[in-house]
Amino acid sequence: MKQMKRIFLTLLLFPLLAAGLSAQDLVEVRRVSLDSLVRFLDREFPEHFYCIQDEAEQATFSVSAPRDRFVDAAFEQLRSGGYVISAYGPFRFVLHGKSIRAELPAGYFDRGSSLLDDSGLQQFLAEQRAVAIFQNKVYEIGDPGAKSGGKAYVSGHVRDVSSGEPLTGVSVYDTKSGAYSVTDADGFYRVALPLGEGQLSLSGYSLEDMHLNLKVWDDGTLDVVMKEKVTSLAEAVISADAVSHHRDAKMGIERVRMDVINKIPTAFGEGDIIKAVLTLPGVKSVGEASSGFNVRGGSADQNLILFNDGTIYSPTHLFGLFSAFNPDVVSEVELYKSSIPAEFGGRISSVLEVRGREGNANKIAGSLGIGLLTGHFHVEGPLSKGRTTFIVGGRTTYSNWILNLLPKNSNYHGGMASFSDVNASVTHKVDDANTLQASFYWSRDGFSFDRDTTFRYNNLNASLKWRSRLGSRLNLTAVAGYDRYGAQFTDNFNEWSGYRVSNSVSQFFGKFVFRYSLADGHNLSFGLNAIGYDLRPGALEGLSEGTYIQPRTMDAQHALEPALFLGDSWTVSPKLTLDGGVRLSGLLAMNPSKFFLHPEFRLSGKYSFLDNLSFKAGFNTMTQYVHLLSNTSSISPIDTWQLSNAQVRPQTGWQAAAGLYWTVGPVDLTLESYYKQTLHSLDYKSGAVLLMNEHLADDLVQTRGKAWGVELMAKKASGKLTGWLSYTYARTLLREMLDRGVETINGGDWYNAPYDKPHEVKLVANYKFTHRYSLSVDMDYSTGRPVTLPVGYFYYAGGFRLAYSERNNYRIPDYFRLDLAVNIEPGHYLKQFTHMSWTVGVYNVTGRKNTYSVFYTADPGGMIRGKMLSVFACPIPYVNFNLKF
Amino acid sequence: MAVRQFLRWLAAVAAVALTSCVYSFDPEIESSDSRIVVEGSVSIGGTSHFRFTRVMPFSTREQETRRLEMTGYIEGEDGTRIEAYNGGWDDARGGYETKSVVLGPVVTPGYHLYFDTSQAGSSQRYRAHFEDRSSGAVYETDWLDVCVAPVIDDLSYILNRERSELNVALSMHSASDSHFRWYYEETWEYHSDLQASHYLQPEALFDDAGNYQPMMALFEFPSGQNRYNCWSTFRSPEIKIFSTSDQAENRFTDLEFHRVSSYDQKLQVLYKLTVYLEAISEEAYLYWKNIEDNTSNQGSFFSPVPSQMRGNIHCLTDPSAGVIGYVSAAQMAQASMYYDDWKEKFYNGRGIDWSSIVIEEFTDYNEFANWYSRGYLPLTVIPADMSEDGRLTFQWTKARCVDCTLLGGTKQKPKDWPNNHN
Repeated sequence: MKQMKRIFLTLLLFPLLAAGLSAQDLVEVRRVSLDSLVRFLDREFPEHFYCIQDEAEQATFSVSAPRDRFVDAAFEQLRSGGYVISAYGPFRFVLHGKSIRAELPAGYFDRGSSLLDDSGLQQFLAEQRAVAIFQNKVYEIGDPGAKSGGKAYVSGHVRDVSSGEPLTGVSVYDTKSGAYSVTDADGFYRVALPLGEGQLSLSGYSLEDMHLNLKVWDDGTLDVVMKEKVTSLAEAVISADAVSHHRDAKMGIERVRMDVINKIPTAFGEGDIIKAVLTLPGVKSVGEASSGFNVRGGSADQNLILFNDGTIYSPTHLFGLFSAFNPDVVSEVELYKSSIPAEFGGRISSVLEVRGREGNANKIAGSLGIGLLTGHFHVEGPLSKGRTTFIVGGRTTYSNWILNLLPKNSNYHGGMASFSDVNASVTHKVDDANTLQASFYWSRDGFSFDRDTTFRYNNLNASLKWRSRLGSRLNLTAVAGYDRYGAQFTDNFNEWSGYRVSNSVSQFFGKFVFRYSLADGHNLSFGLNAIGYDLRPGALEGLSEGTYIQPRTMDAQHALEPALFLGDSWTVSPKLTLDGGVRLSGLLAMNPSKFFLHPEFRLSGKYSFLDNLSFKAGFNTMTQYVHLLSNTSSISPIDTWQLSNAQVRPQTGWQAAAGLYWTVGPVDLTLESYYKQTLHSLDYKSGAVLLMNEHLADDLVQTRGKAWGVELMAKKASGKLTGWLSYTYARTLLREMLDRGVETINGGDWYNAPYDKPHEVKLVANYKFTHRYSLSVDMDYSTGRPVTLPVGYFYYAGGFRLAYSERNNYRIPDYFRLDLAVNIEPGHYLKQFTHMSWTVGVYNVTGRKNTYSVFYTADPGGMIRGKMLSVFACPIPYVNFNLKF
Repeated sequence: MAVRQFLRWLAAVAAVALTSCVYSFDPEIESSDSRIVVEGSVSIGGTSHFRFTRVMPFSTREQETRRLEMTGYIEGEDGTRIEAYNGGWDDARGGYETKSVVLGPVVTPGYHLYFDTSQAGSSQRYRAHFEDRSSGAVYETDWLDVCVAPVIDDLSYILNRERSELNVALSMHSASDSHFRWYYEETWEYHSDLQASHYLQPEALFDDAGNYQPMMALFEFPSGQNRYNCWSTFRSPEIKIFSTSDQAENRFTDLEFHRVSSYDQKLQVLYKLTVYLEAISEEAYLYWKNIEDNTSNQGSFFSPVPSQMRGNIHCLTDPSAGVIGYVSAAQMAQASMYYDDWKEKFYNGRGIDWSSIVIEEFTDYNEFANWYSRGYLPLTVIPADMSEDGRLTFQWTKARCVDCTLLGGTKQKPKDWPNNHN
């Protein structure tokens, strides 16, 4: 009842405020926390309000006053609660028992040399671990006259003002000199700035742009805090995408933040990273229930999926219906489709980097969520203030339990499908220059389609990362970890002959990346990484004591994949940026030993004709030493991985791409085109046996691939309407490399890859009606994927059978889906400890029966009928409830 | 209670959400594929039968297969030749009519060849050689190792009362081979709901001059004749294969391979299942598996991508021509089992539902034609002295209730059927 009342109040207040109250109108808040009150003030009044809430603080405040006296009334309340209010310019600080000497300048100088005494403000800023927040102040870096000429390196961390979490992907740039940097996973940036006065701009998705006035005298640090753009729905002048489009030479990079992902409607309402990636141009999948995705004509195993630096071999749960990543603990994802930095390698198609969050540095917070099939929770906060933070999250399904509630005669009773996953991460700041982060991820999945067969698989990733600022120009990121994917398939059809097959892939990895800024706009990154593989392609065992099954274990495959890399990002001039890299990768396979060595090159360049119009071109080569053997329409959990050896050559590929980037107001228009070739990708002979096959190489064929395409995208990242609209034309063809005579696939001609879907139109949009209510739309159209259909039928062994000939010569009907969702955000101001949000949506609104597969069934009379399987053949309504505390 | 209801509702929603639906679908496939299909095996110690057909394209609904005119011989490694006999084209044999939406009504004509391989031994390899005289195409199989018959240890049923189904289980072993294929044939006796004492001969309702003579068309069943007991036979089109290559022994025990629901009329009286089992080579096993995967295991998430595997028959005159089929040389093992509902009382099927049975009583025999035209048949005749109103009374009922042949079976009692029903 209480809750209801609060919601009601919020609703009441909003339209009133929006309508623009006169000074005499009564404004009222009841029983709100300090945090909420201050945010309310910050939002509704011209001054900027900041506070540090004591964790133990339980007091609530109720203020009721005419609008023009509301601030004073609120301050009175706060003072009576023991708070001190300090004013500095337009800033108001609410601190418990501390005061800020408002006359102090807010400058910050390198390592305290120019720091003023320990004023309350300094303390406040130090506690916030936030420094530059004032756009109208001049920040001096270094002592005047420390350097006589050239450039100085300014570096620092960009953090969120309220949670203290690092902000990733923020563009930090100097408009005049063209110096440019993007914050990394640690929120770290470094730019080379000309000496003297200048302006440093920062811009990130859904963050308020900042323009800092600097006086740079020497190398130094400048930490910055940024505020989320919650107070205004006005159009931003420049978007983060625009900055990277017109400053960075790299192309084909898509970055999506978790708050955007959370608003993309999905089948069961939960924010889904893989589904979000699928809304990007150039990314395709073979169907709604598929556990992988295809980037620019690459197969699903050609994508490197990294989660906190660990390789995720199986990125989905429940046959692809959910992605493996808990949305609560992820901050953003970045997909490299074309320009892949030299530090990444090992897959020839793309890199998907999923970055976990570090956790709130200021207070314990968390969330609980309930969806149709899943529940999830997470807790985060500081372990020791200012030094150590943690974040823990978990998800599980109750689908199993729900299935068992159903009547016995429904098809679902006794069926089984469930998953759970756990994420944990601890970040410890050793000192100002060194940070350690430990990350852990574990998941398990199980499902069965019938009473005898069960699939189970699990992921395990653990890593330790050390980030160090070795000097004003040099940084080191070192990470070591262990990744494992294991799967098993049990067929208990018979007591004596029932069996279990299991396989696993595990790897130890280590990586050192140095980033070094040279004079003249060169930013070097170099280092090495190594992966030690331990692949267990298969183990077979019986299920009972008297089993007939002869236990058998296939030989383990061990190999070391070392790589050295060097990359340089060179800002030649504000107009011209060049990016180059070389990676020397190898594979040392053991038993039998075999060594492969492949140099890889990454090149791209950007030229800006105008501030808002740029052209880029790039070329890169890639090598892949580990291959997924999958001969099913969707990747099966039990599909095994195979290391390159004398028979299975490393896959190689190159891609040439060019693009045009044009920013028109708040809209970023992108046109990218590419041409790509691959060698030694795997396909399979007719009737290939992939499981427990000692002579596997005999069943594999190697293919040559070519892919080309054009991707057009319009993206708008700010304002009431945000989202993107894209059109892609893309083709992918494969051809068997060897001539095996009549057995050669499609007679040795080019054939369509299974994921060759030429036309695609995708729309992802969110329209904010108010700060609380928004509508999300997701639309997806694509040409149907190629399938192999029978060309005829014949009577054989008592029934009709199907005759096939050419591979992938037909297409299933085109795919179209429209999803809608209404997001109801928490009322920001009138809650105490918890914030509730709701998502109500419908997946596949039009109820279109999209074809997943076409097949034929022979009924008991031997008759053959054409059928199609539609995974979600009707509109699926869902409600998702999230509680934040 | 409300909570439970809510959960049920939630469960229902979740089930809808999880429903992956299957619909009829008829892709338009244009093809002129007419590869030859060779089915048969060299049956050591018996008669070898080969059937030659062609792949039928989906687009052709009224099948006009180019006729084949086959001839051939089977040759042993020692040079012996067994020529075909009794070859011929048959427009229907082995074919099933199909009413499929996709296929339209077709029959599968084929050319048949027989070889007397009763004297063939298992100590040498054989190969088959065929020629299509209509086109001049010559086909030859690889040399075939003879697989000796496996030993069937047991064929029996297990009653699963919880799931209300009868499971047929097979046990077998083999000394030398590790891949097996079998097919099975079901025969069952069932009966109609009611046993009639009389039957109608519709053609006798009118005499040659066209005069209506209803009483001349009603006959009493002679002793031992009825339309109550019937028999049905079904050869399963399922491809049953098993590999013991991952086992320490070439055997399987109590392998359940067929289920019959206890509601199925097959179990009403007496049910027989016969298994024909042969050992095959690994290559043949993979071929059969490919056929099975291509036809029956398609469409689901983890279905193997379909593709046509090449068999062991080659066209010598045009090596690029595909030939469908795999020829083995084998000895067949055979075993049968019976289920007798009189003993087991497992059949749950429809008992006689008197409320749904309509028995029409009338005394005017001129009504016969009328009732017959309305789908009724005689059940019995009540003599005048036994009827309520003292008149000769006819009881008729719906034809399906008294004529078992209308339920799919025939009155042809299988040979060696182990009861005295007729």
